[in-house]
Amino acid sequence: MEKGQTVTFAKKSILKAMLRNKKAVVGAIILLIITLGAVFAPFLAPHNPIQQDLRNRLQPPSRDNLLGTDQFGRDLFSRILYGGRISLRIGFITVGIALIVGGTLGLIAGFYGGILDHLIMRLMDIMLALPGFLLALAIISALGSSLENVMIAVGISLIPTFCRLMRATVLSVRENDYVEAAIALGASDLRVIIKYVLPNAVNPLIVHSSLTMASSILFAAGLSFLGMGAQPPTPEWGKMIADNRAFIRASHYIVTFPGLAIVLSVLSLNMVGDGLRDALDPRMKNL
Amino acid sequence: MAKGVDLMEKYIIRRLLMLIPVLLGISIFAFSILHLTPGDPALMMLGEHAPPQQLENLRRSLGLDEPLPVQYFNWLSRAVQLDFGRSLRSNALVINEIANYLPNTAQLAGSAVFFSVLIGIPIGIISAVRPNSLLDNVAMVGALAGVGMPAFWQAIMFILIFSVTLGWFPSSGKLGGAAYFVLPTMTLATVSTASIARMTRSAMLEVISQDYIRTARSKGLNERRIVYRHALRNALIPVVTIIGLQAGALMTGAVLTETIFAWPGIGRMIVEAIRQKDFPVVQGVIMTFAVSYALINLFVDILYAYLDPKIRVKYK
Amino acid sequence: MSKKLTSVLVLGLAMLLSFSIFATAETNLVVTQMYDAVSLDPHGENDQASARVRRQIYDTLVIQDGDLNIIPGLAKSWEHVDEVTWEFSLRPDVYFHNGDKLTAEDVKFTFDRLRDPDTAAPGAFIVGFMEDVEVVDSMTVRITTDGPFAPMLAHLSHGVTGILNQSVVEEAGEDYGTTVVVGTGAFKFDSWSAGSHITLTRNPDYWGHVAEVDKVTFRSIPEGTVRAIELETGGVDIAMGIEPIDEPRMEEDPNVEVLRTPGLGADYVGFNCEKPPFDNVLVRQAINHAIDMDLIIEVVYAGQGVRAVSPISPTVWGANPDLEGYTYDPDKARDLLAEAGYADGFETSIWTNDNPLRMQAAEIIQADLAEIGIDVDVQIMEWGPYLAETGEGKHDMFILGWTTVTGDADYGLFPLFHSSTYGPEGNRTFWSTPRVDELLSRARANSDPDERLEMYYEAQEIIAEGAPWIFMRAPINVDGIRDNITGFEPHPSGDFFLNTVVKN
Repeated sequence: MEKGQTVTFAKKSILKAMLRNKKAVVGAIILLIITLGAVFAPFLAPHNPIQQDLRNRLQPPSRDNLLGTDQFGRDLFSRILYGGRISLRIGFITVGIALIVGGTLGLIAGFYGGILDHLIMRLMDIMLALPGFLLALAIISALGSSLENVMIAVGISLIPTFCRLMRATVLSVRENDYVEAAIALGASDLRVIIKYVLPNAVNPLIVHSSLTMASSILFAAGLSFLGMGAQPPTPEWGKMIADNRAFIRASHYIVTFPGLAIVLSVLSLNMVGDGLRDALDPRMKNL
Repeated sequence: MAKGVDLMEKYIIRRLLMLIPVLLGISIFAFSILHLTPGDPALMMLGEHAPPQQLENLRRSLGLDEPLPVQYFNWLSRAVQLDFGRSLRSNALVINEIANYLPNTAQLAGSAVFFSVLIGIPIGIISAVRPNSLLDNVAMVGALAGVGMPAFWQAIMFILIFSVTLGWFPSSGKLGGAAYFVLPTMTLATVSTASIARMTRSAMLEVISQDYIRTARSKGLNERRIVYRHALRNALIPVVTIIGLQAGALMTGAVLTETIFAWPGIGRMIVEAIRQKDFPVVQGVIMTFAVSYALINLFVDILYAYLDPKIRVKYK
Repeated sequence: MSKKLTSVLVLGLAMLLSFSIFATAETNLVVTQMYDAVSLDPHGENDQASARVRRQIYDTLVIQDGDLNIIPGLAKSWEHVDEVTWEFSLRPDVYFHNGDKLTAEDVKFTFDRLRDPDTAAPGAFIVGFMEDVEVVDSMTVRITTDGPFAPMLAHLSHGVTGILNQSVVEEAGEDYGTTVVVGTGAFKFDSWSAGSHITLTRNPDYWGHVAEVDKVTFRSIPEGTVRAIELETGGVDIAMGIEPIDEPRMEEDPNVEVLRTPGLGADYVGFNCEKPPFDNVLVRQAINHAIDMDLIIEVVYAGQGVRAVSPISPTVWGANPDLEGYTYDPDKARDLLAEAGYADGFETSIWTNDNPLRMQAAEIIQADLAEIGIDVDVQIMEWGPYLAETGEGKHDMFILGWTTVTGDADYGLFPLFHSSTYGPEGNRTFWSTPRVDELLSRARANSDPDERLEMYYEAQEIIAEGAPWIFMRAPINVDGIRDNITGFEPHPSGDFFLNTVVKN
């Protein structure tokens, strides 16, 4: 656990280790494409994603509509590109919420211990008493359906694992003699946290964030599919599948492609996450 | 041995006691859902033709005019007797509805676990025996895709292929007949099959790299014998617990799968209850999920604790 | 190991694939509809899914046939004693499913329970006209109304007035309608797998046409496409509600017959006429002109209905045949909007429940209104909260339907446009005029059909002009049956009787 050493050592080897991992490279490339598509959607999309053209509905893929059109004659390709923005935003915001709240709670629990630790960890136990998706579903049932509420609910449901991870890291760092020594020498809490705890927490948190982002996108799409998330005409992938489902016999494209978009984003995030785990923190197992 | 049993009993009792505060916490959460929601529960219950006098009567009979902590304790004291009240929509006892729906979910989940074990473990073994081979890579990318597959999308694809196009299996409902199980089982089993395959592979790899396997190899034992006799048996112990840990994924999957296939289980029940704002049902189902989840996890932990010392005795 | 695995695998597959085949000659008629019933107590939820099942189990005093004529039901005859008094003579040969004989006491009990505020029956308004119900003798009931009420018999044919067995209901208490269900109808309640299906069995002692089939199974299948597939593959015999997207395929299937029944309904977008800017008639008219309703009907409903020009469907008695409706004219819409002082448009919202066709219509309306500068937010809500909140007037615009189940203009106009019914009773637009009030009140108390017609025509003209609605669609109900089914006649109200249905 001589972390001072590992950090510099890791920096050089991460990239190498990642590049050696074919799956991680493929994942990263797919993720990059999806991200670029989302970021540059306004420039790349051939059509306005919410512009209806009822006379041109349920068309199969063609030169003008690369992936065909939906039940309102909207261009599916454009909607999928814009949908990427929503899913990535959901991923970042939910993980952001979980990282900040869960990380802070874990830091407090691990660092100060005692009753505070006990209280926080019991709270986490309660939150873990329901599978994440069901917790999010229950929170939505109280908050009401909207994309914002989905982000809040999914974000909350992801807090416990971040909290536990952070706490475990803090505890393992505190075991080190040199940290004990630093504390004994009167280093402030903040200093200990910044100097010793955070550098050690970065790697596991990166790995966990990338893997969690995959499940958060999946959760949010599931909630939108159930009609508890994005509202029309928002081009959210899960919602697109739900809305177009009645038309699978007439045109399966409008369900197939948004689904593939979800699968590819989740898969690529998981591949990158797995790769990062192998490269950064081989000891870490699935949480 | 007697001492061991004693320790085991103590452990189980301690774990059961630890469940109480967790379930109390969840019960506070389940109870407060009704009160976090904007809108008047009495009005939702009586719907469109409610004169004010009736609303007032109902509020009183529901105890909505009492202070919240009193309401909570009343609710809790009934809930521990399995009385979650009556559905706002059908007026049936919530506990009866749960008793009607829960077995269907259990059957579906059981069938999914059965098949995911049957398929997931062999895939994991094959991958671990030839790590980084083409077969391994394909299987593991496939498994990774399986983990990330949105159940609701997959279900629709199955319906498209197996019901709409081929006409092999019914795509909705559960009317006796095993045919109704096929598509929901396939959907629900995907995530757990993929996870079990991944876990089996990594557990196997870990065991294979351990000393006694190397010793066996150096002794010139047949590779097949090594894999099945020694490695698998030891790798299966963590895998057993992983099967239990699929409970969360199965419950998540059940909500989406049941909704799409109109499967009369508690996953679909909670989605409909949330849509209808049928709060007694939502509360009852949340508690059912929490208790089942807790009991499954407890069972898995006990199983693991039970298996673990034996392993140590055997191989130390 | 691998051998064992294989054998387990084979065994499992065999288990999974084996169909359980019932070797019986029983005829089981399988009917599917979108939703599961909510309650089999007629005084429970007043929804169509439950109503259709209850129709088979319970009888009403009088029956309305497919052409909306009143024919005897449990009452073999009736007498209009004076303006406010009616006497019904019951059939002497009617027995409940538990063997009890039907008496006048049961009828009185049923109506009293239905009207009792403690019952909180959502269908209580159907008998809102009743002042008192008396037992004259064991086979005679006298009903007094709170004033002359022309459509009275049509109301007594409504499924909500199905006659209950007093002793059974009182004994069952809160469990009535879910586990205990007893009527006099052609089918007896057998079992209910909640969320899945309800089974009924033939009542061999039925007083009327004894059912042709032994069993009826009502299956709920939420997905339109799945209902269609099940009908095509023979999994069900009758599928209620074929969605437009599936209709062409059904028409081509030689094993399936598509039934089109002009309905008694009206789909509409209601405005909140007490809330600016919808308190301005020019805004409401502008919006009516801004929407290409013909295109919506063509695209969303694919011909399952005609564009509405009046608040009641042409099938309903009293519908005004001379109205023309609003033309699609965005320029005129912009002018009207400017005249109303909203040249730059405004922001508003439209609510709908999760009905897939309404959700589609809402999205098209959203796009149409964007063309004239009105920025609309579409909100999808669940049925219960949706009804509650539109009843409270929290909405801007909302999409709803109304079925004139009695087939009489009174039922289609009074609850929706009279000022005494503001809110959850039906008038969710909070719009009326003194003249409309007067016409609707006088017409329901008048027993001369010609005079009533004249009043209803005038009321519809005022309503069309005042535009409290975007007039959408008079639906045509489209259902599908297998070719081996005969004798199935869907009623315009959406109900049906299954006792005459034969499964060959």
